[in-house]
Amino acid sequence: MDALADRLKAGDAEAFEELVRTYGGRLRAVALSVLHDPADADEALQEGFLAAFRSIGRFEGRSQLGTWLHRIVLNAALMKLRAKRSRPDQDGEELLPQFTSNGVFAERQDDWGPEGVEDEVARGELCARVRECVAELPEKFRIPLMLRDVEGLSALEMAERLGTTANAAKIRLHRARQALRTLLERQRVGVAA
Amino acid sequence: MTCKQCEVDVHEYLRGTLSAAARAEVERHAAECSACGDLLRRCQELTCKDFVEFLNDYLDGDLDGQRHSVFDQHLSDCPDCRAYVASYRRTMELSVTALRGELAVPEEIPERLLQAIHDSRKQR
Repeated sequence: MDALADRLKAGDAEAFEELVRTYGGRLRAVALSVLHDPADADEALQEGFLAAFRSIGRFEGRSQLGTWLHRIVLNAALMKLRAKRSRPDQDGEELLPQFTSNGVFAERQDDWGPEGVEDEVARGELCARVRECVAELPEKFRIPLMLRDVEGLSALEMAERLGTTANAAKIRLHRARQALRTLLERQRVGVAA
Repeated sequence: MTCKQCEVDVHEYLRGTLSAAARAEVERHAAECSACGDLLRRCQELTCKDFVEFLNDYLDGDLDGQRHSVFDQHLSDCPDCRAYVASYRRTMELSVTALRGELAVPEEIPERLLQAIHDSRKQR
């Protein structure tokens, strides 16, 4: 377990300042990469740190403290992004693939074409659009996706965090990826023209 | 009907988009041609829905050897599932890249923001 995390759990006031000084600048850049507005990014950062302070007792050291904070601040920024667009949390089941009664895809599946976005600017824009799609995911999909893709947790670690079984956590992650795939396809993100 | 045409039409046959005449043509060809008959049977035994439901296990290598081979065969048979797997893999890569990201050189947090975070923490 991180020594700083231990001090935070013990309520050491200096540890909180050290935490914010150590990670604040980097995490502000994370929030800004999602929100593109310094004032909104600062608010998300503040909300993220408050959420982290409240839940530090649950930090188990399975990922690095910085990675854990990254996920929390990123989630705060994504929720703010969605709130700005006034999109309510939907069920998300409509984002899963549809099949006929014969179990065949209801619609022919498009080939997404070749990969590879070499240009740095285009790559930045692509990532921004992917984050917008993640922001649209309902929480039941967004959280497992971030536990895996940001914190890199195993199925068992995700299960402990989500209060479920490893198998159920794997299924939620799989559905989250399917839902994100649908949103990316709808916006033609990463899809060759 | 040629086998090549039948390979294409089998998926539309199962999707239910073919006319009655075209359906009859697929059924007639599948009855006469053992390769196409096998293809139709395989697509009915392991459906796209089954394939997609266990796609994560397939990609993670969590299926047992025999089941994995059946999934390999379905992927070889089914253009829809091949396209879906490619886009699913791309989604996984894009998600990690966009969320984990390559961050800029860390900046120092402005003092006013540091103070605001401390103040808000004390208020709660």
